[in-house]
This record gives sequence, structure tokens and C-alpha cells, in this order.
Amino acid sequence: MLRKRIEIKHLTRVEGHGGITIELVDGTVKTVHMDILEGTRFYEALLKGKGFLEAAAIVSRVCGICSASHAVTAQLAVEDAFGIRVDSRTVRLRELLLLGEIMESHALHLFFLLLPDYMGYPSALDMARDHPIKAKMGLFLKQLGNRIQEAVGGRAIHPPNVMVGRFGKVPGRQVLSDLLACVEDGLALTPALVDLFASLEVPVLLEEATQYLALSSRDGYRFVSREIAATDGKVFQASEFSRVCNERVVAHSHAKQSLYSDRPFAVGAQSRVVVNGGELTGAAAEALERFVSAQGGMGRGNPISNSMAQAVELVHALQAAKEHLVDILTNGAGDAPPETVIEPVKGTGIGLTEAPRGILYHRYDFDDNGIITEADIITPTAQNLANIERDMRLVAERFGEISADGVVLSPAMGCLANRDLSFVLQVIARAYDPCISCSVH
Amino acid sequence: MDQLVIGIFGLTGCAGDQLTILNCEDELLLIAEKVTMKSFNMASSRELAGRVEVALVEGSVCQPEDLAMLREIRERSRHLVAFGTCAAFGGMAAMDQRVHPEVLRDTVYGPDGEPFEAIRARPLSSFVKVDFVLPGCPVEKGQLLETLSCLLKGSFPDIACTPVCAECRSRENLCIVLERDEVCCGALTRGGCGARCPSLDVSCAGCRGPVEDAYYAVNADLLKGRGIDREKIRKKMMLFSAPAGMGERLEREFD
Repeated sequence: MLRKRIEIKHLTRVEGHGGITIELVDGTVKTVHMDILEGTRFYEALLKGKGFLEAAAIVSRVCGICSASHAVTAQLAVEDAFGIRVDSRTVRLRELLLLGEIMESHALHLFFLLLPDYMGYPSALDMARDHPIKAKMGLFLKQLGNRIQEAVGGRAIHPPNVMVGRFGKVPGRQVLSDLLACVEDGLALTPALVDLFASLEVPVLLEEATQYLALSSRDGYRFVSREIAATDGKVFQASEFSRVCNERVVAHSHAKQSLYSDRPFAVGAQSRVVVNGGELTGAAAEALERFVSAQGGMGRGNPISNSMAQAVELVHALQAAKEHLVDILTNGAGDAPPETVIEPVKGTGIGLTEAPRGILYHRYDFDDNGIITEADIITPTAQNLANIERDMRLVAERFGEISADGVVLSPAMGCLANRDLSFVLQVIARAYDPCISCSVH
Repeated sequence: MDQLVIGIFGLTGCAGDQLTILNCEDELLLIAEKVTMKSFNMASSRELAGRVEVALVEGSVCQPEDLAMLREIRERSRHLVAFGTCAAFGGMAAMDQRVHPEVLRDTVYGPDGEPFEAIRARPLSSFVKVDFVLPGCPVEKGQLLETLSCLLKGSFPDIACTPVCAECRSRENLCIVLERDEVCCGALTRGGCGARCPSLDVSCAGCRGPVEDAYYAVNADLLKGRGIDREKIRKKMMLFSAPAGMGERLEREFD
């Protein structure tokens, strides 16, 4: 019996600490583990006994990259529990904040974490020496996302300005006009952005039927909704989500894993484009068409397409940010925030958003005084983990050819030809843009 | 001249401080010209091992693996910087000092989990010598750049430890405690953020950690005088100040 073990101790160019272990016996893949051994901070336990006013400040610290999503989702959960309605400007500003986060996070992933694989560099800083224009495009888009988060959220990371029912301070006209000018500059870059990512030789690692889940929207391509759609045609309400994704503890990982109808599923940019792509308009819709004709459809189960979906969403985020900015500038920027009366109500509240990496779910139970008695946080990367393991298993089974000196890949793999399995597994993990701090929390 | 070699490491945390390095978009390419960044897992697949002049260590020690990693980092670094509030003071993960970590673990993982060792979250200085503290949740970009500039000249910057209140007053904000009778941690929290939160009309959560020589008695009198009860103070003060025992010291002054 020939046993072989492939072990990647530290995944690089992903957020947090994770590894991969694969065991093969006589050429058959036995186990595939995404080892998430990041330390746990026990956020759900820390939330117990804390007041509703503290929730957003606490949970935004789950993750430095998607802190805005955590803060907004927390407030949505509080507002759901207490029956608070927010005004339309607050809704728009929150969406603008989330779009800023999408820009920052996607630009970080596309240019810093992913592109070096395609261009053959260990990091974007190494790549920047030979390809300064590409690096600067990425930096500009990333910075634009941060500018939006700073202006709206009060800080690029862990935004303090996101409060229950309102913003602490609404950004003034000048700030918003300056942002609008930056967004226009960003929109001018989108043809070059799409050219760059459409020109990449995307390897078709898999074409395996995949279940995609995303918040569904019928009034545009949005990142906040209370309805979840699966690609098998089913639609669920917010209150059903924890049952639908069925999160459970697994032995090899500090992150829990999820299954939909006992099978792995995917969330994130690719899922959103598959579920809501019909809602895309203008340059984002054109970008999607361009990627589909150059590299094939988004929904055919190739995890690498997630990156192209992120590029589509970058274009969308710029367009949508412009719309929100124009609307807020027309309909009252800089006015004092509305006075909100907050009366705690005993009960449960659920917040749902599309974070950059997929569906983010917060559920809090409150007592009469607005003290949290139970909390549940289900993060996108935790939902994706089972699917990442499934993809790695399939790739290892299909493309791995055991030889005496290791595993060599089939040469029909585009830019991944003749790279070893260990490299390809890292490319799969990176394609999901995993956020390991989030997955453990 | 040899380049300055900086190691960038994350223990248990949110990576927000490491992200702040990447958020220096205007300066990043220049930094990369002047500084060799090693072990920056989050941004680079380059070499992980080897000696570094300065280690920026984010996160707190939350599991035995963190401690082993921290000791190894200390071994191979000339200077070690507690990079962000988790590293400097313990941060969020350390807030419930009175609850046993196994209770926290069982609350999250329940009876199904493979039991792993849960230890109380601690700052770096509980285990190793820390040469410099760069506080913040996350660190302020300006202070990070100032630190890098000084390191290139072979020193650490002189980072002020005055309270947030001082900066808040100079920005002419209305005082949240006096005007709204709400708890604000500004008087006990170290500034450097330009009173970021009170300037948004949001009370300071204490995210930059405690000032040295805080006046607990005066603050307790002030808050008590505004009719703020100790439970409210405890809840606010424990977010970031619990490891330093600040909330408890303030509460004691109520008696």
C-alpha cells in the first residue's frame, strides 16, 4: 500500500492561518482537509451579556477586511429585533459603505493575492517592479474603496460611524462631492480593468455541478436583502437560514462547516453573479458578457471563475456607488441624522448581508433590557469550507497522476500546467478568497 | 546599505493591523523599495524564515500555538513591536477576564467539538519582552508610517500617550459625557486617533488602550455626577480595557 501525504502548512496570500492536508492511498484520495487552526476569540460567547449598543463595535473586530459588513449586519439584527425602521438615506449610506468594502476587498484580492499567481511572482510588491501600471490600478481601486469606507464609516477598518438606526455623523456635501469625483476616475479605469482580467488564461480546473447560494434581489444587484436564493430554484427567508446552511463543528478545524441538503455549497462573488447576474446593468453587464465569452459561464462549477466575478462586481460597485452618491447629494447630504427612539424589545433579531466573500448572518437574542442572551454568527468562509475541500478532492482525483517523485498535473491546464498539485490546491483555496479570521471568529 | 528587514506576523486577531500596512496605498511601493518585508503571509509567498531587525506582531495569544510562534518570533527578532491593541493589551478576545476560557469555548462549540485547549487571551508582554507598542484597533496609518520612517533611521518614534479627551477638546467637539450623559472612554484612553469617534458624535470605546496614570477617582465622580450607573460603565469599559482592569478600578471608585 502506497501512502502519500501532501501537507501545506501555511497558505499564503490569504487572510489568516490555514493549511491543507491531503492523504492518498495507492493513488486514491482518502482525506482532504482544509486545516483552519487560527486561534478562536469566541465572539458568540463574548457577545453574551453585552448591550445592543455595543454589538457592532464588538463584532466588527471579527475581521479587518470585512468589518463594515459585520458592523452593518449587527445593526440590521438589532433593528430587526426591536422593530426599528431606518430612513432611506441611512439605507443608501449603508449600501455605499458596503460597496466601498467590496471595492477594497476585491481589489486587494484581485491585484495583491491573485494576480501574482498569473504573472509568476511571489507577491504584488515583486510584481509591481515589472508591472507598475497594473499595480497602480489595483492600488487606486483599493484606495477608492477605503476612501468611501473612511468617509461613510468613519474609518477604513472597524467603522465606528455605523450606529443603530442611523449614522453618528452623515458625511457632508464636500466630502461626498470629492468621493463622486474619485468614483468617476475609477469608472474611467474599468475598461482597462476588464481587459486585464479578461486576458488572463483561466484554467478550467473543474466543471462540476455546484450549488450556489446568494441573497436574492429583484430591484437591482444588491448586498442587503432578507431573502436567500439557491440555484436549485428554492428561496428562503432570513429566519430559515441557519437551518438551511446547517452549520456544524468538524474535528480538523476551528472553523465550523456548512452543508445545504447534506451537500457542500458555495457563496461569494461567483454565487452572486450566478444568482443575480440578470440584475447587472451597463458596464458591469458588459463585463460579465465579456468574461463569459472569453472564459466560459460563471455557473459551470469552475471555482477560478470567482475572481472574474469579483472583477464584474468591482465595475458594478463603481456604478452603484455613483448612483448612491448622486442621490444623496440631490436629496439631502449633511443634514442632521434623524432622531431615533430605541426601545429594546425581548426577542430575536437577524441581520443578513452579502459580505465580499458571501452571505453573512448574525442572530442575536435579547432580553427586556436589550442585553444579548444568545448570539450566532455564520460567516461566508465557514460556509465555503466544505465546498473548497470538495473542489480540492475532485481536482486531486482527476488531475493527479501519481509518480515516484510526487504528483504531476496534466499539462492541459493553461497557466497551471506542470505546476505541482500543492501549488494548484493553493490556487483553488485562493480563488475562494478565504477569510480565515472570519471563519473562526 | 543593507535594507531594513521587517517581519510581519499575525497571532490570533482580525488582520486589521496588517491590512493597515496594505492600506498605505500611496506609500506602499515606496515602503517596498526601502524595507524588506518578511513573513508577510497575508500579502506574499516569499520566504518565511530567517532573522529580522524588527518584528511587527499583530494579535493576542489565544492558544498554545500562538505562544510557540511568539517565542520563535522573539528569538529571531532584534526588536519586537506589539502591533495593534490586541498585541499591546489583549484586545477584544481578552474582554471577559472573569469568564473561564473553557466556558467561552463550550458556549461556541458545544459538546460536539473536538476539545482543544482554550487559554485566556493575553497580550504579548505577558510572555515576552516587547520593545515598542503601537496601539490602535486598528493602528492609525499615520503612526504606522511614522514608525516605519523612524525605524529606517534606527529609532522608534515618540508616540504621545495623552488621552483622547485632549484631542477631542482641540477639535472643539461637544463632550459626550457632559452634553449627553453617556459613557465615553476618552478620558482614560490613549489618543493618537485625533478623537476619531467623538468627532463622529460616537462615544470613545477605548480601542487604543489605557493611558498611563489614569485618574479613576475623578472620572468616577464625573460619571456618577451625570447619573450614569456603574453597569453602563462596566459594559463600555470592558470592551477594550478589561485586561488592564480599568473598568474594575473605575467601578471601585464608585464606592
